[in-house]
Amino acid sequence: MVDGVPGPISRLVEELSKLPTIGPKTAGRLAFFLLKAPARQVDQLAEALRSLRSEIVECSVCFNFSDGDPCHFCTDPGREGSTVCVVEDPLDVLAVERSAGFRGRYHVLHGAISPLEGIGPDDLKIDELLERVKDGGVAEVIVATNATFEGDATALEIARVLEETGVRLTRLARGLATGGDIEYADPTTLSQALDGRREF
Amino acid sequence: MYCRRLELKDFRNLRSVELNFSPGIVLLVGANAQGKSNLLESFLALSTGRGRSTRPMVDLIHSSAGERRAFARVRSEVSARNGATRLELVFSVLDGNGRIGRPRRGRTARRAMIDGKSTTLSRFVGRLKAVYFSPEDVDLLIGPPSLRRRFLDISVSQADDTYLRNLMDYNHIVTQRNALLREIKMTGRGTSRSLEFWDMKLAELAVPIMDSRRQFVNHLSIYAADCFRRLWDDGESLEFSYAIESAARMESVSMLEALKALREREIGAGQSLLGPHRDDLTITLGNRSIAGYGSRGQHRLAVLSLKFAQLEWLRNAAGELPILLLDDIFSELDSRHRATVANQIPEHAQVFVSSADIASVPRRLVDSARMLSVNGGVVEWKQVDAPQ
Repeated sequence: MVDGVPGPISRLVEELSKLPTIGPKTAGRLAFFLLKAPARQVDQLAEALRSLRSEIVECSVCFNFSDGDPCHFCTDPGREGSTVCVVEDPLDVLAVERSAGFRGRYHVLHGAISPLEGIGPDDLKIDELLERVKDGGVAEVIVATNATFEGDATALEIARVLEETGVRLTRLARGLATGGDIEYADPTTLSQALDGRREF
Repeated sequence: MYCRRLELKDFRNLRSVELNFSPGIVLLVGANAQGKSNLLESFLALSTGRGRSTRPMVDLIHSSAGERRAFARVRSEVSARNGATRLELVFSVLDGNGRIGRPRRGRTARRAMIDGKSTTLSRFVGRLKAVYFSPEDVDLLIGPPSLRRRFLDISVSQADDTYLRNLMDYNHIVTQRNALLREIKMTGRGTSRSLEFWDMKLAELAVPIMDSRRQFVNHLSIYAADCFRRLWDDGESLEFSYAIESAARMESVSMLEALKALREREIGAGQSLLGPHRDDLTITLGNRSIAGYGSRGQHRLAVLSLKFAQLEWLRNAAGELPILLLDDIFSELDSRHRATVANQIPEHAQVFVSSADIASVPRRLVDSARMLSVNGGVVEWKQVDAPQ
């Protein structure tokens, strides 16, 4: 930090600029905003940060972050326990939830296979998924990993691991984005959309 | 096609340039190290998404007294058969966190825009088709295979945008696969089974890449060989072939089987030993590898033949002439060959010719040229040649 800036401010700026999408400039702006904000607001922020780590746990069933174990997705009787949607990250759960088209349960892998980052199948919650399926009650596993090579590698590994269970295994369809022009679709996307075409 | 407007900001030593062009020949004059090559390189960047191959990309961004600017920008309006397009390419320096910053060295990020809209590099490359001729090109013949692969890749991707996308995906797969091979080598963790997916993807993407490259090499075998005969009329012929590296690979075996056969060696090496990233373009002169054979004069003309063949390739792909960038190529040729080379330049093409010595540029080009003076990073039309 620049000379002459008091230590506490400099420390906060440094911490804030470690956050994703926040650069030193934004961090500085946030720090001075907090300095001038009502004490109550700052306390609430501090409290929210503290409770984030103390009250949030990983659900022992689906490994999503939650304020209780098991999480509310896993205990909600209104949700279909026989369908499990497998996603890479907790944020993906939110994305699928926003779609409002899914009323089953989740399984969060916490990543995808990526040798470059040193992430292999053992670093993901894949064995846990196998156990979950073996325990019974799961009729279909929907693999909703990202449409990247890493996501594909992960999906393939899941398929391999679950093969012995005979559970129904499906993948999200790939293809055109809603509102997308066929004219502008790239050839890969378009050919995937063709492969995944459906009867009316 | 031709470029009708060029705007540069902090591109190497060209701090601020705004120029309008019409089709035809433009001669860049000025002493050495004033920015002539940099101006040509800005067209190359628009065309290929990168600068000259031998220099770090970050150096495209202006720096003086150790202080680098945050970004360099190249903007252009290109007039082609199917209408006009505005192209913009920004190079910026990223710090360790992926943010735009100003470290002296670092990763260089590129942002491409077509008609004001952000787009991917693979769609951007080839919108402006250009062929760049430079004395450094002789490295193509005598340098490492990576230079020839880059020549193949740039030529093919300017003509075919799926090629570049496949290539970028392929390189990503190779990086992941190498990481996995290294891990297996170091720790014994991970097995052949974990390689299967990456093998499959590698093979899947390698095939179209190699097919496209072979098509281009076939094209070279016809056009470059032919052009060389016109430039160098003493019988020894120039020949090309696409060379697949690795003894384990035979034409009859599928890529996947070849990878299986190579498994132990690849793990031992901790890297992918088979695929387009290891292949080469073999160039022979009179049946001998040209790298260790032939005179300097033959080398210069051979490499010019390659470039003229690239021009023909792009012309076929686009149905119109690409622009030509001639970076001081005449000073190294004797007067007879200057004239024969100049005769290969198609009429009606937009041509940018740089030279520190105007007397070396063939009359055919000078007579119809308009002149730009390039001096200390300042680019100006010479008075008599100012447009309109």
